[in-house]
Amino acid sequence: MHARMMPTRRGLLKKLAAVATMPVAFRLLGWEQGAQAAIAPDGVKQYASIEEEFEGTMLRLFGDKTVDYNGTVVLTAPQMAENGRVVPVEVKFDYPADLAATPFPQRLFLIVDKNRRPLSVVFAFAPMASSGYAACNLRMGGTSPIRAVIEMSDGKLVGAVKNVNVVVGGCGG
Amino acid sequence: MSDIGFVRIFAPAKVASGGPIRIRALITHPMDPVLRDAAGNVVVKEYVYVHTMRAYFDGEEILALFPGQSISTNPLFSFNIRVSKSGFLKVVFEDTAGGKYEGEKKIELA
Repeated sequence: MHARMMPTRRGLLKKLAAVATMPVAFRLLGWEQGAQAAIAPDGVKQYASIEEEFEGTMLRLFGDKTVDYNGTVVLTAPQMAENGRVVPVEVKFDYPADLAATPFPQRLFLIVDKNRRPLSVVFAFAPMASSGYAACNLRMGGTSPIRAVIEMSDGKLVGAVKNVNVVVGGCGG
Repeated sequence: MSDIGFVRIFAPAKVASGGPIRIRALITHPMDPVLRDAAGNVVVKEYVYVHTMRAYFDGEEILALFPGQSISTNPLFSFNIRVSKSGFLKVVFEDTAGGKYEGEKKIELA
């Protein structure tokens, strides 16, 4: 009995010790979440991928505000995408070094006009840690303009549009 | 896919203080779209895709990202961050099936 109990008790003690030291290790490494308010805590609901028309997306996200396509945002995407499943898109934009006075970019929306769900991805930046670059691979159902819209901290919208020809569409949804 | 949720973070090995550094975060994930037949009717609607990515540097959130379904399989997200100290960059992905996948990388100032 005694011989059989020992290993279990040792195992249990080991487990207890592991559980007890875990929070300490997390705190030491600075991993504890919840110490700081999350950026866009309800982002999943707010920026849900909904099946809708392109105009509906723009209205849902920006209301009656107009987007200023003034050339400060540079959108790089292939002119001709052979495969709509992977379309690399790159966005470069001005990011001020001093954030105290100037308005800074807060959100970046990547929208594919003719997809069933036009809103592809939203980047929400923390002011002090970000810098003017974002990239990802989009899926496209067919030939369509892609647009990158940036919401500044003062509510203004700047953006860029580029048309991408897709040979084989890759978007069932 | 057996290796779903494998996270990999790419960052420069040595970093100058304050300067923007390019981070690339990759996750192995199918990113299922809704399946449709030729007529466009929904066949299978039980799809799984990553809906949130959050990046933390030393516990402080620096970027939140909300992808929809129209992101490629095995998504790779790139972004620039500015750091003034060495620390751990942690990236957490969440998908619609309730999966939570994370990876981390040490960023060291030169």
